[in-house]
Amino acid sequence: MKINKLIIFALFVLLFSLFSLSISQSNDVTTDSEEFINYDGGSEAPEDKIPPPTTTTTDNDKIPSTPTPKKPNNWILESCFILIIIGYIANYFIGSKANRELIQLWGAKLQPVFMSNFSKTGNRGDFTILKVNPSSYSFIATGRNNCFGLQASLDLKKRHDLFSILLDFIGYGNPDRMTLEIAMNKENMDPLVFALVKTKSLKKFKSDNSDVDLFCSKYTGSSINTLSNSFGVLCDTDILPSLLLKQQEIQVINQNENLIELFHFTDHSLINPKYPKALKFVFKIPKASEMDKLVLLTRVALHYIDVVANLELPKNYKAKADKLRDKAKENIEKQAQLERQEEIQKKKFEKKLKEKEAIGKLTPEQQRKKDEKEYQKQLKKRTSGGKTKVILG
Amino acid sequence: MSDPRKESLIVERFEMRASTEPKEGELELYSLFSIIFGFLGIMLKYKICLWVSAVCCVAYLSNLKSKDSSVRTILSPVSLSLMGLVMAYFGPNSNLFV
Repeated sequence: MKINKLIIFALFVLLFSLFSLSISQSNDVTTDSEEFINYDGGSEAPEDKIPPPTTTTTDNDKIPSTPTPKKPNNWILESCFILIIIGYIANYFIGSKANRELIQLWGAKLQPVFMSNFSKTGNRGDFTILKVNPSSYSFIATGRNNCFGLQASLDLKKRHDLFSILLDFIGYGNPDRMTLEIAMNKENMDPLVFALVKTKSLKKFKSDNSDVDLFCSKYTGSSINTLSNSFGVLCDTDILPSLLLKQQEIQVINQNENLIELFHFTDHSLINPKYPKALKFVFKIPKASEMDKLVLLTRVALHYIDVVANLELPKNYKAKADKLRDKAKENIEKQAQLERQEEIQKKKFEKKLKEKEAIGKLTPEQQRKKDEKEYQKQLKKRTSGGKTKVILG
Repeated sequence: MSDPRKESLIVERFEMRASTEPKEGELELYSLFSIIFGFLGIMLKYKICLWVSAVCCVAYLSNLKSKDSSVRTILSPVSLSLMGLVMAYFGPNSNLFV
């Protein structure tokens, strides 16, 4: 596979150099032609190539109307770009095939795991993996205790895209990734927000996920002492790490440190509003020879469905979690009310402005009449009910 | 350990994500570049720009999702780059293209 990439890369470099060569050549030709625009020495050479002007023009119009001499076309530019396009198309088929083979391997390895956990795998129940585009695939499974279903999104390297391969060479490419998203049953989950993230991406993860930002803080307690330093733990109540990360799980996480990117358990998921209680796992897809590691991690992910569903927070921690959520809810309601008030005020202000504008458009006589009317209205108000105030000196 | 599977819990047409979203930035970039280079090529009469536009157009087509293939969005970069190339090689003013 690497050799294949190298060949494509070499081809691309060759094409690029040819392309730059052709540009420099075309530049040379253009400067030459410009030099001869005002040259009227009666030379014979250009006349051979220039087609005679079709219309008769005056002396003043002669210079602009003379057609530029046609350059000898050596087709380097065209052949370069056609080669690039052919290379791109060839790479599209090679890359798509490589991705398809990887997905087939993934399917073969993980089929027994999903089959033993879900009664319906794939859209029709026959373990079908949906192709979204040549580099992304999706898989759905449903019919399991404690959850509505699971969606696995496989985002592979864009092997079908020549430019993405080049980016990958430089080091800007994304690795092959598998994201498991599990929708939990509503009644089977205590309020909790827990995340295990790579320390490097902790800040970004916090800013991207409003639930983590609202409820969570970084955990630095003793129950995760054995966990690798490359991971950070975020949770809303301090008891969660000790309940969710037992020694066995920590061991698996440490062993597959380079493959795990994220664990995110939440009751405020934004993935789909229909399923607010969700678990999300992001793993890197390893090489074909190490695919068993991914099988183990998928088993861990499915094991967490039961762990989280059967998790019972101690009463004081549950009360704390509920309090946090009530507070957040109150804040959101307050903000919504403020926004509503602002909107009402804005509308009032706009209405007043419109009235003012309408008055400004009236003729002086209409304005006088309106003032009179208002004055009479005010008088009526004052004298309404026959009560008049008499002020004595 | 008991069997976790339960047929009664099957959700018909289960979908966690409304649509799987591979980053669309790149896809839009290809389309954008194709249109920009196509315009530049036609306006400034540069063949290089037109060819770059054609390459971007091929990249755009190869990265298309199978779901969102609305004709109008696909047609604009394709038609522009094709039109540019046809103008540059077969049009009446083809000799003006550098």
